[in-house]
Amino acid sequence: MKKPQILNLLLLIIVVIFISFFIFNNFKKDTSLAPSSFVKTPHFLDSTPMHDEIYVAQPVNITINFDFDLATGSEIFVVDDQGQQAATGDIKIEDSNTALKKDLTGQLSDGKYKVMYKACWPDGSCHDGSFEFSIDSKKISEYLDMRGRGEVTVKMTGLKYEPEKIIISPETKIVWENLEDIGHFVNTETHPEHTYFPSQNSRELKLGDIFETVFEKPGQYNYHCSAHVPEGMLGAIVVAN
Amino acid sequence: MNRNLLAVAGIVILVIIAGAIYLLYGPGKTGTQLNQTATSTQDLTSDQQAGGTTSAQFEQENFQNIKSPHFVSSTPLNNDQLSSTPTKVEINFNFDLAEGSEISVTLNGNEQTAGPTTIASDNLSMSAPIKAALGANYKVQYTACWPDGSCHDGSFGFSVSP
Repeated sequence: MKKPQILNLLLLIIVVIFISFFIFNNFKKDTSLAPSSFVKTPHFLDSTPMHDEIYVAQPVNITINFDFDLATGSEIFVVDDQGQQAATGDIKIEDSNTALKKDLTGQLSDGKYKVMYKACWPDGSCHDGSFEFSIDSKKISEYLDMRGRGEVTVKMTGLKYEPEKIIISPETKIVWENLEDIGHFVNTETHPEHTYFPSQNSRELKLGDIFETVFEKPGQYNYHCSAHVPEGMLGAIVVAN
Repeated sequence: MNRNLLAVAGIVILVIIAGAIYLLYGPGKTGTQLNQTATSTQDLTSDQQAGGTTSAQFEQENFQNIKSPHFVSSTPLNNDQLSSTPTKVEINFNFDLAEGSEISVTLNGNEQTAGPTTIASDNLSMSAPIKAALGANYKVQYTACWPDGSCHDGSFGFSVSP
């Protein structure tokens, strides 16, 4: 083999090695550091809305539940798919310091929303998490429109809420009545934390018992019977003008 | 001439390989995801030697208070340091506890409950009697169950001086 051939071969080897490592290194970066839309911090339990959940109307707030004491510095940010801020007001820490909550601005339009949060702990350390939810108002047709009434009754019978999905006007009082000889509950999301709209939390309701709540703020309120979640005893209320 | 060229080419290849290895596995590469996975507080050392010690040996343990949903308070409180052993551990909730809810109290890994867990008649608290010991770091682990049968765990701890 002559000298020019050896030089060419060496150059070729160098180029191949360099390109191989460059590609491998970048591939490794892409797979290990790809941003994930659902990132849980330590002590995260669940949230309202849940990751990838679709609402027919906007949630009234973002609530994130943990199993450890949250501290000052914790925060929630919400942006729409245009990058516009969708959260407003002060951050709230509730439920024995385990629920982080922030209100949403009014009149959110259909689309995808990204929630980014920072959970801080008593030792001052903080960790970031994120999840997404969507609003798609097309499915509002599944809801029974009961707007314009001052009071609406929802019956609990046959392991169901009757009616299950309703639209009501702001300031409407809903009365739940248990019509069967099985204990039922009315509890706000999520299960079992019940932190999204705490005014909508009953204890056990026996046959004939009632529970009532007034809904003032427009938005969607999902709820469930804590004794019959596996049986699908779920309800939803949309408050709209 | 040929030998010089080969030597230079060899050195260049070694430098590139070393550089690539440094880029791939060098410092900083493994730390890029730590913010998402690191735990925020120190690990519990609940099973460390602690109970039944003399005052010179005793060291109060610092417990994490991991709260199940609906946890409100407990007696004793997390990280209480008491002068005598309480007769029972009681945990309060703001929602109905169901069957299956249970308290376990351990000292150096040994069970210290002196009887079964009792759920109060209003379903908002549960308690369990415990055995007495001095110079002890008690770890309390509990399971809170709800009307649909789902359960969630929590834990805390307290100490009794020698």
